[in-house]
Amino acid sequence: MQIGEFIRETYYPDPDEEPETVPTPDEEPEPVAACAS
Amino acid sequence: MRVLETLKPRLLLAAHRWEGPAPVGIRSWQLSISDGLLYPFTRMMRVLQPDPWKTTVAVASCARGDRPPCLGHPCGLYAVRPGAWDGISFVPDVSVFASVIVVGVVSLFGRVIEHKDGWRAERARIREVWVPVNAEVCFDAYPGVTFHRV
Repeated sequence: MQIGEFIRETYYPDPDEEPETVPTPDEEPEPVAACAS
Repeated sequence: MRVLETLKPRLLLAAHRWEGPAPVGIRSWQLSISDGLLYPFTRMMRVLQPDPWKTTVAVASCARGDRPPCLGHPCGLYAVRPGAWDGISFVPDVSVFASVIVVGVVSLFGRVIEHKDGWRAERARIREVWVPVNAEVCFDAYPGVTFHRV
């Protein structure tokens, strides 16, 4: 997929989670196995 | 492009609806009729990817074992910037759309690499998906996602 040139890298919290909430390992979804998805 | 043209205003409205600090992008998947799961799909890739997004929130992986998305390596969960699709060849046309290629809106979070026409993200939350009206599929895998029939 062509999404153009790099601009910047940023970290964003989950927009549906409370800011202070940190997911526990048990809550982590399974990663998508394909590299570029 | 006729079907997508009719969807553009709805996709833009949906992207606006989910606007927030985290980027909101548009992307496509192949919706499997057999298992009701969304598989990554882009016309640029030419082949369907083997691994579906199994839940409402997808998490990227990297074959190199690094934390995705990597700089200098094309891993991550992709989405295009709303309104930037005219220059992006991944946008599905009528023929692929008719074969249950679907489009939708996602929020991107975690590590996110911004590009001129879209993003690569560590995580993506599926918000809304537009599905052909004749696709008889159960969407139980994606709680919280709104599926529109078109």
